[in-house]
Amino acid sequence: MRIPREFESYHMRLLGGEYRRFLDYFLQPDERYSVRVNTLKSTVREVKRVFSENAIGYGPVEWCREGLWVDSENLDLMEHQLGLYYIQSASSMIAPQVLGAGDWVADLCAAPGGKATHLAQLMGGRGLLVANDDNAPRIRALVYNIQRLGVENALVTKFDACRFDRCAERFDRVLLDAPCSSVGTLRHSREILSKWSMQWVRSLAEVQKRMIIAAYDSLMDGGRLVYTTCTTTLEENEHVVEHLLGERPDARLKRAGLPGLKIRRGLTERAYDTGRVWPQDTGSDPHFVAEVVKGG
Amino acid sequence: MDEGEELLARLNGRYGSSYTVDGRLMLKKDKLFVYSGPESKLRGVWNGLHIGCVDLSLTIEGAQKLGTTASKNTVTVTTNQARAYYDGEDLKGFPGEGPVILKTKDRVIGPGLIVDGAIRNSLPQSRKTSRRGL
Repeated sequence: MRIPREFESYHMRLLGGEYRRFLDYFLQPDERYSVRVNTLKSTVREVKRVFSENAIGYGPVEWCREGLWVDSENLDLMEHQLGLYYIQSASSMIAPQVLGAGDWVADLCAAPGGKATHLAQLMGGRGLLVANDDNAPRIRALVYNIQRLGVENALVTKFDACRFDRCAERFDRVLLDAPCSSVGTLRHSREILSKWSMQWVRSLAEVQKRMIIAAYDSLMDGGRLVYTTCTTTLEENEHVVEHLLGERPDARLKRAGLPGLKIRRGLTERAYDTGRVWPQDTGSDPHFVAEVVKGG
Repeated sequence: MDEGEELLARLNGRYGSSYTVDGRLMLKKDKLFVYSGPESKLRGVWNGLHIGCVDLSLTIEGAQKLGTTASKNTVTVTTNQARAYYDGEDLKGFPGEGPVILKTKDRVIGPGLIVDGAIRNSLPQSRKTSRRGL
């Protein structure tokens, strides 16, 4: 894997002496994968039995009761197509749990549906789940997963997330899993490295700032927003949250975290209560998560 | 009884099942959906769960819903046959005619269509197993 100099120098500044351990995670071949049991159709016990019958080893994901680490990548079994589980990075199980269930919930960049279907199972099929995306091929994948996992309370919409505040509803929970430079997916897709530049990161951050304002404005008073990315840069994470706090004085940052999850605090003073998940701590892809409350 | 309820009654009749919805039934063109959320002012491109069609065929999810109480037009197959079916194969040597619900001893596995003594594969391409890592 050829690491661009700009990427390397940025992450060496960000991580200091830990940079090598961080990079080692991406250089190693995948040895463990993860799935989330879909409790709308199955139970952890049943899925464990399926894996045992198929000689797939498993263990618990420390921060998600329905999450399982597995030792095989051949996971597209019949039971997968039956919707008993969803193949998903263990880090992706964090944000929906931080957000939790609500009555009117929106996932603004929902495709392909991993986090939206997780929210659906947390909601137990009750309330409204708006699963939004603005890209037609990705919406097809989203609908496929919503159908496969048996979600009955989802409304799939096709709005530009930057203008989501103009939609006719207000929500008590909003998830914004913003499009990002996706350093967290580097283990699975090296393509990111060929695109990675600070110019690209800054252009993504501009869109993310518009999205987080629209996401926040679509909340009802007292509602909660979770902003998450699968990337590492300050510009796409802490700085985006700081932008929201600057633009919306009634926004209040809550300390993000989950039991069983080793999470480090944000890297700037103002966004200190945001959370960073690092592979050298968790053995899972890097993630950023921030929880914001409106008003109150 | 509206069109959606009427179709569900026909589906329950076909399979001898007693499935009732916890929500609303919606008939869109020839497709029956169940939606358990509240009314919304938003217009969506997809709403709820597709369970069946006016030709009395079921989706996998529809089969799972009706199959737990179905008492007729069901076929029990072995786990190996079920896996072969999900690989895209037809299953030979089954009497009957028309749409059926397939089960193994453990669970409902989906819809099938018996034609000329064989269960013709009724799974959409996207729901067949890929036999490779994802």
